[in-house]
Amino acid sequence: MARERKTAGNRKPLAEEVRLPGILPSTLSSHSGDRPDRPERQSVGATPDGSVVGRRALAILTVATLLAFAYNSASPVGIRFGNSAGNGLSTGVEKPARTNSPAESIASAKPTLPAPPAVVAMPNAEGPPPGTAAPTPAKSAGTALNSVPEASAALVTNPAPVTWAVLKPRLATGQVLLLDARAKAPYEAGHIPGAILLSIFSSTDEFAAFRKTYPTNTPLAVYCGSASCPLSQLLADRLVKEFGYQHVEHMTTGYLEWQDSEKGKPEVTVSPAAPPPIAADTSGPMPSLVIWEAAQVRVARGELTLVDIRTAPEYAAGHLPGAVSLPAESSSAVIAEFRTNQRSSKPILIYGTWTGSSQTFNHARRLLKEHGFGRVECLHDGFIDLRLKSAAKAPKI
Amino acid sequence: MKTFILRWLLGVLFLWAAVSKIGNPREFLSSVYAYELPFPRPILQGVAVVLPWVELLCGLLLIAGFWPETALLGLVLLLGIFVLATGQAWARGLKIDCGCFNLDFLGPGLSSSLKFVETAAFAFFRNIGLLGLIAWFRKGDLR
Repeated sequence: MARERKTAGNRKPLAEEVRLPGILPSTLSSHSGDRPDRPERQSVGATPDGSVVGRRALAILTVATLLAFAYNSASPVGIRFGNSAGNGLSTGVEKPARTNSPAESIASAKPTLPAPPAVVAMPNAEGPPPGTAAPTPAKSAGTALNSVPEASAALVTNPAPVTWAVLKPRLATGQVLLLDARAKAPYEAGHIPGAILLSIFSSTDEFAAFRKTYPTNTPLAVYCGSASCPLSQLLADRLVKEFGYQHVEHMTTGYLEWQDSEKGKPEVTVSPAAPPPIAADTSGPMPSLVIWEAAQVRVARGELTLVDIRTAPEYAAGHLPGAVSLPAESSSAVIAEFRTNQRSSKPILIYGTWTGSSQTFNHARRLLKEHGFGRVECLHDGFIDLRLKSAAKAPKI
Repeated sequence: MKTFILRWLLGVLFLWAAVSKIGNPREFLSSVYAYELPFPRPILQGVAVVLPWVELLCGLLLIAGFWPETALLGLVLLLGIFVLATGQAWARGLKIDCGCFNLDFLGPGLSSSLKFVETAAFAFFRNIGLLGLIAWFRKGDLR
């Protein structure tokens, strides 16, 4: 390839012998004829002759090619070569006029399924669902294109669970797009390199933008805070059922386990273009982020101490059943006293006013780091939203 | 002065086009596929990868006034390719977006009312117009 280009470049000097004026020597030579240079029209320097322009054009093309391929291979949304559907592309997102690919007809038939309630109680979210035969995205992408029945069979096990060990090499080669299902605050505090933020709590607009950017046969993998965090599976389900994504996997472990397994191995970075973890302090233990539907079972079983970090008046006006009050603005002495009075070594689960609040999350980090709590979990849902939700469902809070 | 206007006009136009494409390579690739050109997919993929960067470099060089002749030559070649591609799409009646520019930043209302800018026919005449503009600005050299 490089050699071909070189010969093409070498052919240019033929034009040079005609002593063209510098402008557009090879394309317009037949119109320009042999004219002496007209330097007053040149913007800079002397008129380059044909061979010079040819060499420069070659240089530009080479640099552009190098940049293009470097950027493309580094970018998680870059183009993957080959005839397969690896680009998630044969179905043009915005070209409804051509719906001749089977994959696309599935995709367009699929999303009409009603969306499940955004959050479902999933007490057993830790366990992999039945039918764990996880097809690799590449394989299922191929079958989706080749035959409709196989493709719809693949949809049955979609989303599928996947382990980090399986995912890691695929991520490194850009075969899958990694999504962080946690909220913005923990994502910004640190995430798996290359992951982009798409929380189940993202707004409709954010989901629409995501859907517009990534066609429905983009292979996706979702993770969240820890192995016991159900957000990844909820998000994976939603991506499949509501948006018709055909190859969605959810990691069986989460960010906590990833941190443990990759500690001291910084070279896991997916690509140079992957956003580096935010420079903000990511050291020390991280609180895991849970949602109420998953936590309430454990709270009911007495496995967690529920801690309300809102102000005392807010707590007095109403709080989650069984919660104790430890306002976020309490002095260190008060917090230390609370900790020593905590008889059991149960993990604490804190919650604040607003869903997805970074203050709540950061406070959980402080409790871990500065106040020596053993294990802190942070409730993603805020009190206000829980109350609204429960008002619809009617159990008392 | 004439060359100054030409350089900035074309340079900014092509930078905009390049940035629109580089920001979303796969969308651009699907635009390329939509032209239904008689080339194998790997070639079209290669074009979709490299072309925006040629646009970017040529646009930058033209604005910077560095190797302006070569950059202008590159843009003329690109425009030639675009004329052929959009022309055949228009002639065959393909209802496609040309994939030339990203208008999303204008907001949903304005970008949908400007959607005609992205049709193959409009792009065809726009590219012819740009080629004519270059020729007119440079007519001294072409006589």
